[in-house]
Amino acid sequence: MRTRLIPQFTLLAAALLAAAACGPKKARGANAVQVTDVDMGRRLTADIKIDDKTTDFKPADMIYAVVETKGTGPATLATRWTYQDNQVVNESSKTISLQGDEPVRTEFHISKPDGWPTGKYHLVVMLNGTTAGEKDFEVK
Amino acid sequence: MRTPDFSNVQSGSSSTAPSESSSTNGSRSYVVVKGDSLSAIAKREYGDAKEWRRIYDANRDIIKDPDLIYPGQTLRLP
Repeated sequence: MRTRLIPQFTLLAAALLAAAACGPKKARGANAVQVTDVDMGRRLTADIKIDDKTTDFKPADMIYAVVETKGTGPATLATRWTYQDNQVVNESSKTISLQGDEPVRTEFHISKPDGWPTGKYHLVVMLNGTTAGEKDFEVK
Repeated sequence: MRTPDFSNVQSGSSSTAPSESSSTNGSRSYVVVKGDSLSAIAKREYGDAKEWRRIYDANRDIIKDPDLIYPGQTLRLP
């Protein structure tokens, strides 16, 4: 029995060491693009900031989500808006190029000419295909 | 209970960063909603209702009368 346990232990230790060496998948570089904030609201300022942060909307509202990012390099931001039991409302994406130290704000907006159905909604923000932020909101 | 129809949802996006995937000249788009007017959009977007003419001038091809805009119209914001 003992001779079989030693190789198993060795394999386990090697796996743990390898995992530790890989570490968390963040901080690939000091300037890696990352999402730092997601805000929602009904109005947008000229410099793309939410003027009235809220997650409560009315059926006639234009719904804005502003995604703040930092870092350097190209990045693809995507939004997936869903209603109640995961019914897809809209999916959008935008590829941007971040070039400096200043945070970059990207807004996504959706509207529905005949009004939003009341109920609970969910927004997922993805950065390069990976979920980077989520928000619940409601239309009353 | 009927499943809501979201096929007529309109969307758009803009950024303070240069866009890589868009060939636009930096202008943003705005989808008109019920109750909007050019001056109201100008006030909201530029902080000054008098700037409505900028929006009108940038959208002469789709706005015939500046007092008449319609929900669902997509306007360029210069």
